[in-house]
Amino acid sequence: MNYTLELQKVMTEGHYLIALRDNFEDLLSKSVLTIIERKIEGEEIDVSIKNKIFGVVVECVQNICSSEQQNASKKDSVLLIRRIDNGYLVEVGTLIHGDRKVKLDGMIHDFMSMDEAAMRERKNAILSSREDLTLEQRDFLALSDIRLRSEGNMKYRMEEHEGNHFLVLEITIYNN
Amino acid sequence: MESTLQQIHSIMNHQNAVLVYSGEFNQDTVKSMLTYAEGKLTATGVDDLVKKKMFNVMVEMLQNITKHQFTSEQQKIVEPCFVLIENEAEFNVVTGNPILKDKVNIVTEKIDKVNSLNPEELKEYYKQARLNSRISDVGGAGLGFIDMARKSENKLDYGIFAIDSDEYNYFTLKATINKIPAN
Repeated sequence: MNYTLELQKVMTEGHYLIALRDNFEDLLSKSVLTIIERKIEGEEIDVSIKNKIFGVVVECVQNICSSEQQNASKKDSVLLIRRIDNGYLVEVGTLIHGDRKVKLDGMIHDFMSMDEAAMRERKNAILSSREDLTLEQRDFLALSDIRLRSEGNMKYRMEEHEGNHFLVLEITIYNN
Repeated sequence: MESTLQQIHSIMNHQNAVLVYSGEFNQDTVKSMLTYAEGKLTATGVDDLVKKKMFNVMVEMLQNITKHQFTSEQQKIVEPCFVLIENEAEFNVVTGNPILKDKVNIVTEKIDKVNSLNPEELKEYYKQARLNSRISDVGGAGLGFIDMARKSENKLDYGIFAIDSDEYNYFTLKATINKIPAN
């Protein structure tokens, strides 16, 4: 059970509040959000910051982590929250299937290079469409929301991890 | 080089851990862990008996960790930790906290004693321990450990690890709850 101490050390050194690994499917996502909400509530920070963190986590859990689910029994996402010098960092990693990796990578790359006005315009166009949303459109809406809540402090990367592709988002919420 | 996210994810993956919490434990933390576990158990579809067992064991272990998280001088040596593991056939509830080196033998002897007993003997031992705790040192007989073993219907597992302290070790305790209860 040395892993307990190992986890404890990594978590403490990195100032992590909590780590969750699962598929975050509907039923479980409520519990995930509850535990995160309670955890954030306990932090001595302004309520507007708490709301921002929680809003970002909701988008991550309900949209980013769920968009790839093909097998609900697989625990293919990880969500971490850590304290940093002047705020909080939400890190989310989710398994991306090989054939979608290139497409998603390109989509997020384009998304990140858009200015806020262009992003809002595209977002509104998607929202006003009467068609059913595609996976890419849903991803775009989730990313837009995260970017707005974090005031643009969002980074992404693709990681190779134990033979799998992982989309990793790092979202920073500053205290002021 | 591995990122911290990769490091944590990798350990969680290999151990089948679904939740890791490290830090101060209070009533709110305990409540939120229990709420999370409730959702987890509902999502897993285990029967009510297993839910009840899991709850009882978690409450006992979380109470333990809350009580023993700080040293007598209220000084943090190493923070306590809680890990929830989901394997195919069982859940594991794991806690970690610092323990005074001179208390290690007392604690491990209590767990070894509990582990050496069959369910009937454990029941009898529990009765005796309850009686003794009323007339002497409360919990001195290791009532918590007996309770955990009885409720989980499995042996307890523990580990003692060295940390950067002259006075303290790190004590980990694992309880196992089967997803399909024994008849």
